[in-house]
Amino acid sequence: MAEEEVKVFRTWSSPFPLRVIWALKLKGVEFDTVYEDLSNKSPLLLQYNPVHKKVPVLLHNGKPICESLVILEYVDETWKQFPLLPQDPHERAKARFWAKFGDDKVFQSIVYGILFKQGKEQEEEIPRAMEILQHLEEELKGKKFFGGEKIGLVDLALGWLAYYLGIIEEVIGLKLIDQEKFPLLLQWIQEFSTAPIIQENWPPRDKLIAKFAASREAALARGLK
Amino acid sequence: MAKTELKLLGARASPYVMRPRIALNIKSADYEFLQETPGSKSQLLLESNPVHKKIPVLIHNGKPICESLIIVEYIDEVWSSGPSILPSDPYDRAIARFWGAYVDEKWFPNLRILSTAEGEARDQVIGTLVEGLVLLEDAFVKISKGKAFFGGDQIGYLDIAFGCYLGWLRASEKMNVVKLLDEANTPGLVKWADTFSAHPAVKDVMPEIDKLVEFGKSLAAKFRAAKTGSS
Repeated sequence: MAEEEVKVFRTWSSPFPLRVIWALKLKGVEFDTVYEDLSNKSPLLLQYNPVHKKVPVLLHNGKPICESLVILEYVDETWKQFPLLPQDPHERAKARFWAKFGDDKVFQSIVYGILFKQGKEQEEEIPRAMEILQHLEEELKGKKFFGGEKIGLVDLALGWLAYYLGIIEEVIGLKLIDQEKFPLLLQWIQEFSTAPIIQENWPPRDKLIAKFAASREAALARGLK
Repeated sequence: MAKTELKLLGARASPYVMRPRIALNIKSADYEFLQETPGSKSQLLLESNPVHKKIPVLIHNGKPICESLIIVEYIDEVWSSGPSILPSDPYDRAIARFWGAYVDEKWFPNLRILSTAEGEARDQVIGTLVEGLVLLEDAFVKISKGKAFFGGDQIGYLDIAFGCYLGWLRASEKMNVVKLLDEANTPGLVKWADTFSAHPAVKDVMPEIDKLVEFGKSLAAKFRAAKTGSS
């Protein structure tokens, strides 16, 4: 195969580019990494993602692809080893459903509804978050990973939970999931966070705690205006 | 295929429901359309989509598929012998999916806001909507490469994803007496909108604009009443 140029634009802390990095490494694809400082975005980032100006961006032979879930599908279609999506159309639709659920509901609730809120607003979101996470608990019945025996698209999409949830719990001083109500989710967190490749690519915990605490402060300050 | 093996739960006014309907039309697939009553959810809907309890839901051989664009991809994969809905090249597919996500997550929410915005807020939303349409015009020019549709000669994924909002776009233009799509800013999209709406796979499932205007007015009135009621 001719020399391919594969580049991932990321920050050190954001979970969304991690999805792309996991996918490429699981498939054994060589790539370069460009670290961005979102308070000082590079001209290249603005050129490659003019609409959203965000990470991740995947650059493949000079062509940019944006939006992490879109990138995951592109990666899966381009490099066929270690498939992330199943073959059966109905199973594929289910995988896409849960990946979207993760972004639309899980991330929204835990980050925007709980981490970035306080007092009554935060309190009221917690039962909603529990209901949302309960769907994930049920989806894990009889499975090691969301993808079944192996890591799949949904595991990569929800993977941030396996590490960042603990960090968020520490920042807000609240335990959101326990062994009694979420035994399968806790087991998945253990399996996923310590899996080969995944384990080696988590950002440093202490730095993340500091960063998320700062993001929370900033969000609360904005909310009080 | 027997008609009863394929059911679509939906409602005529919903842009999301239009998406699988257009896709099924493109594939010439027969299906039973089960219209949900506005204001209530059928038992079948609650059972088939317990997570979101929303339309559309496609039920194929008893198995439900939810989320409109996911349903469109499913239809494209299952009816693989019919005309293709997604492009074949992975990069083109990524571009189509990118803009599909954009219209859903960034553009359409502003159209909803427009229905209840007033004064300066209203002008701001209109500005944002037009800016978004200019981005989409640029995307159309690049992606269509001079052809009639985002999908080229045939309607494709992005035509379906964006085109389903045309009914509400036109209804909003009428309700607010404003032009969102116009010859000056978005000439390509103006032409595309007409061609898309007249397409055989689309015209029978596009809701009538006047009915949407009526529906939109009643929704806006309910929203305003709820707002004043709670303050």
